[in-house]
Amino acid sequence: MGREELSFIIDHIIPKVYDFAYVIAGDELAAEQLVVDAYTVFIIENKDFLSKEDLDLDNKSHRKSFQKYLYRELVREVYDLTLKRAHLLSANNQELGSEFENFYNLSMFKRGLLYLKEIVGFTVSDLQEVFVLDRYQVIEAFYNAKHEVLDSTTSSSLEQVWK
Amino acid sequence: MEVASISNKNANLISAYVNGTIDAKDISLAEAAIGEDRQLADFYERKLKERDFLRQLIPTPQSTMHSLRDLRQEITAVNEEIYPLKKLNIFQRIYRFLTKPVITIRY
Repeated sequence: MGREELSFIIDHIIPKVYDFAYVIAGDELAAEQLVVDAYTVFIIENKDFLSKEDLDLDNKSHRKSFQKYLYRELVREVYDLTLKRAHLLSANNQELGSEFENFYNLSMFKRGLLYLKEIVGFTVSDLQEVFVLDRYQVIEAFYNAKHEVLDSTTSSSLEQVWK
Repeated sequence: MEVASISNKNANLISAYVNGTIDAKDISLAEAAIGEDRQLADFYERKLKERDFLRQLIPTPQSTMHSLRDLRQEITAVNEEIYPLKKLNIFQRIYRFLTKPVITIRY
């Protein structure tokens, strides 16, 4: 794949990767830096493979599956970098507003997991690849994260929902 | 709504079905249970509402045009610096392989 083809594909994915980075970093500037660094690391590690790959961009299903693969890989890189910079990023989280307070009280791992599962629609096996975990570990972490968020909301709001 | 009489096994099955953590082989079992049992159908509805409520508690950031423009510029710069302009043909790949050191000794 040449540079133009890669740029074309990556252009569609970058906003989604940025959104993921923002959700776990909780800061615009940090998220931007995470995406650029993650992308740089990914390209350095995979440029030989990517430049050899033949990709039929006109084929919709090829393009979609390749975009999904790239997105998952970049999300994994962003998450790896987040772990390495956790001590810097936790300070940023304190500046967040109260609208999603319960969510931002979760660890970065649980935030990323909940976001990818509930908003992006990742399957358990996608999550296993991103977080390098066994199936039972992903499911356990998901249920824990979910209960942490729901339990910290007022019981009256939940009762309202169930009515 | 009375949920106390639902067995743990059924409750877990429906929860896993709603959360998408269910094993593929159990999907038809869960769907049959929801279709046949009124109480389980109610429990399923309740779990769906709980899931929707949970989704409201998770932020869905919308990147601004400004931040995206900056980001795209930086990504383009990374591509220009690191990524080859064209796909390498077989001779270029052989050349790169032969000119790359097999081992590097660090002093």
